[in-house]
Amino acid sequence: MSKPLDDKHIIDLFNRGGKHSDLAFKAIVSQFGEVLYSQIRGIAKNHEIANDVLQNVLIKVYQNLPEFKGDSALYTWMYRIARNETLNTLEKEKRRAGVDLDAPILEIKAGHSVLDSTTPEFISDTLQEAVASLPEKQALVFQLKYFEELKYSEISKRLKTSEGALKANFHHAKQKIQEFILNKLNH
Amino acid sequence: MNEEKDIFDFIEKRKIDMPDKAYFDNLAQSVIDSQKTKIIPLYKRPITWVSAVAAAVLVFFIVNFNNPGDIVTPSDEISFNDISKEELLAYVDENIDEFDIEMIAEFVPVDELNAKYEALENTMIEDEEVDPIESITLENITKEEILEYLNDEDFDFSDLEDEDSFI
Repeated sequence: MSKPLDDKHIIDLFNRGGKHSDLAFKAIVSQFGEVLYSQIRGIAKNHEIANDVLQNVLIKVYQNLPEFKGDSALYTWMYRIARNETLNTLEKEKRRAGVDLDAPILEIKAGHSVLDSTTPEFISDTLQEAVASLPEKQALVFQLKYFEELKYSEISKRLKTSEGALKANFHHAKQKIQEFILNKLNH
Repeated sequence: MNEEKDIFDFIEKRKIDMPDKAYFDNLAQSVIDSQKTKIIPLYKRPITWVSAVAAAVLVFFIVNFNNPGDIVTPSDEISFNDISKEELLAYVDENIDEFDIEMIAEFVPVDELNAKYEALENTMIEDEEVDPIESITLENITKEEILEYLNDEDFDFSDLEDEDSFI
């Protein structure tokens, strides 16, 4: 497997145009495609919808990359596009009715009386709702750490953030999600 | 207390089915292909250049060579001075309804208009050899002419029986 390109290298390559742009874009999809797909599918719960959304996200990335200023990490920027695109698509189309949905992304282990009274579907949806309500950075770190199980050192490289800051973000994200779920279940 | 337990200790993630590498490679290529056909600048498209040049040449030939007789040149333009007075009068006569008084007054000074009217009136009287109205009196009309006029008008003479004052 070839060595991943850093953000600056990818952007410079893309802006050179022609075959260089093709190589840069393929590198983007190769390095970030799976994470984006996982993020989208976790919410969409269906491959066809996730495929459509991911395609739209990548088109937006391709079209807007020349204007990307590099104020944030490339993945942070793409994560934002993917999050908005997923939520907008699901809100607009409302087409999940009648579509075969994936099994819930979470399973419940016995032992927690509050969780025992609910279903995996409900807890999965509520967790996604809770993640969507988080500040972007916390949601992003939670996605990479909890779902993608990346090491802090790896996330640190991707997001250009110190490991200490990432740990704090992840801790706050978990706390807020827990509160969100308990509030939802208590009502 | 259960609520103090960490929820994350009691939930377990299920692995999402991920597509294989070929899926992502194909997706990247299809996005590249779709964008290449869309975002090529206009001036970089060879077909646009060819079309533009062909259209320009076609227009040039149509304008200059196809039907030169139809093209108006300065020498063909009609000057106002080339129109005779008779033609102007004939045009005005035929299209008098198109002219309104305000329009005429706007372009022709009133004094000049009066002079033209008098001159035109005199010309018409001379042309038709009609006696001036002032020269016609009852003395110049014979009794036969009066009777002929009344006959032409289908005058009912019985109406005159009660009119003692008439004649």
